[in-house]
Amino acid sequence: MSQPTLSGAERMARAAGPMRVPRRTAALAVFLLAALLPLNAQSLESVLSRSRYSPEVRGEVGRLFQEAGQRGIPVEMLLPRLEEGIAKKVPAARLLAVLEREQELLLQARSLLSGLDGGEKLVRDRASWARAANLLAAGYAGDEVAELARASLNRTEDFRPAASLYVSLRGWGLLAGPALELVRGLLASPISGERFPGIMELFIEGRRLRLQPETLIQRLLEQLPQARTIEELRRMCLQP
Amino acid sequence: MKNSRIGGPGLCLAAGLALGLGFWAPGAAEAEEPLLILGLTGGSYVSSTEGSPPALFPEAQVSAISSWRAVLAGGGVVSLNAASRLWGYWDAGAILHDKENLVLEALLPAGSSTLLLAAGLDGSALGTVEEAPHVQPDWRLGLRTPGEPWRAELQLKGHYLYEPQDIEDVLYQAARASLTYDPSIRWGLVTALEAGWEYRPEYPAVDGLPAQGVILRAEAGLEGLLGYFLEWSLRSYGGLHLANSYTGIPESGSSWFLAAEGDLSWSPHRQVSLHLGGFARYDSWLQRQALTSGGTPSGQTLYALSLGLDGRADWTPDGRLFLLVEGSAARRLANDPAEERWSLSAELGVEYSF
Repeated sequence: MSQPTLSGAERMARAAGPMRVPRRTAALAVFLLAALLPLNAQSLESVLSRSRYSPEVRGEVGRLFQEAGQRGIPVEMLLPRLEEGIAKKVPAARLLAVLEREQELLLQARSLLSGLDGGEKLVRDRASWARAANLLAAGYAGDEVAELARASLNRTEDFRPAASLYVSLRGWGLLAGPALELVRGLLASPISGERFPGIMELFIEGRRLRLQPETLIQRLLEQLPQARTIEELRRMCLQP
Repeated sequence: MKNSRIGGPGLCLAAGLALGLGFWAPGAAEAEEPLLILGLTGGSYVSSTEGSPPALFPEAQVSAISSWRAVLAGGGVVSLNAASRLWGYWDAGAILHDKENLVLEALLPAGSSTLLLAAGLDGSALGTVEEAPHVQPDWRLGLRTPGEPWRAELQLKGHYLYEPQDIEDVLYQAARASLTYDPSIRWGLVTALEAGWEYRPEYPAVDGLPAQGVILRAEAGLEGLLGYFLEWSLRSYGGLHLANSYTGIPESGSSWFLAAEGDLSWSPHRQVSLHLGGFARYDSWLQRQALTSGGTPSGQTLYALSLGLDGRADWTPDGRLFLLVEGSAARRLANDPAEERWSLSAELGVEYSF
């Protein structure tokens, strides 16, 4: 994954001396934001009021949220990151950089999802949209995220468990190609998304039997069209 | 006489199973590449029995495991698994043990359920620390229902233990019913009940009746997955062994037992795996007397508590060569000094999967 470039907010934060945004301007920005998006802004204001950041920083955060809103990113999608930053008491510069980066990732994810025929369904589901952005943030290539999303188009509610399984398979050491193929096979099977983590159990069990993961993937792909449950897959691929 | 008796059930069942499979799916099997795993481990074993000073024994083991599977048209699976271990330790000379196991098993679709047919053979030519040289053919026939979250299985099974150097031959036949509730991948409940009948042809008859007994066993356990890489299980079981004879032979007579086991298996990456396990088991005999250190009856019936922990870690660079580290600790407490013992072991090893 390439290093993110220094954002405007970060550059500003790194500048010597205190924030240059006058307090009155910052307060006005937050006020205007509240006027434009009353409920969300109230949430934003309420979250910010719990922080120890200076009014200048709060103003800059308000500006970032306003900009995100103008670009079609709901405030709720950035709020968790802000709350996390406040809870962890991260320095203002880092907070602003993270929020800006988050905004960029959400835009990139939306662009990827919208580019798929029927991908708007995933964008409308904010949790799926956020999950796609998380994948990008974790360093997964846009192509991988797009492929995962494409495989989920008929089961958009299972995009998130499919993405989590994919991350686990890759983290466990499988290559992108076989991992994607397996997730695609699962999404085409009747196995429900909440059972997807059980696939990792099969790999752990297969390893105990000294079965090469690639061999197990082959067996799983052959049996997935017939299997109705993970237990059936276990029987077909690992037992007796 | 004895040899004709052993061969009977297991070999006939294996032959019948093979013939049945051939009839069920002629030419439809798609064989998978067979697996062969060779292993070599070495380490040390420290133990103390009957209050004696601890003794250290170097030990080594070679093992071979081979398995073959075929998926049948229609979703059945047939497999043949063979395993053999030869191990020994040094105690003023090499003392060798061995254990062999062969299982032919088939899972066949039967409507929406699955039919299980299995026949196997366990054996040891040299014997082990706990077992005399023996051979034990066994069989299983079962029916599993499919689906989530409830699954059920009914199994009929049996074995014949033949020990040429001892008088512990046993014919055992049992029925086992298990029920699994698996509401989530995170946790599931497993319960089972087993009722079996045993016949000991070499024990003297009691009141004109052959020496026989009934074994009842109940099990309950929880198991699941934490995150994506950590499997866990907790299991307890208990049972009652009611026999119509007590001959003074340690294994004869009635007893009851209660046990608990726990396991954790963690594999955060395909190259690494860690396993931790522990158990506790309490056995109490209804007729067998505990003896004093002088070997005279203590006036109490015998009871024993066994505790154990084991750990295992392995690492592989390529999924074929595995480097292993293993360790275990066990302690047995009893109201009979001759039944008390403890042991510690540590081993390093290597396995290669072809």
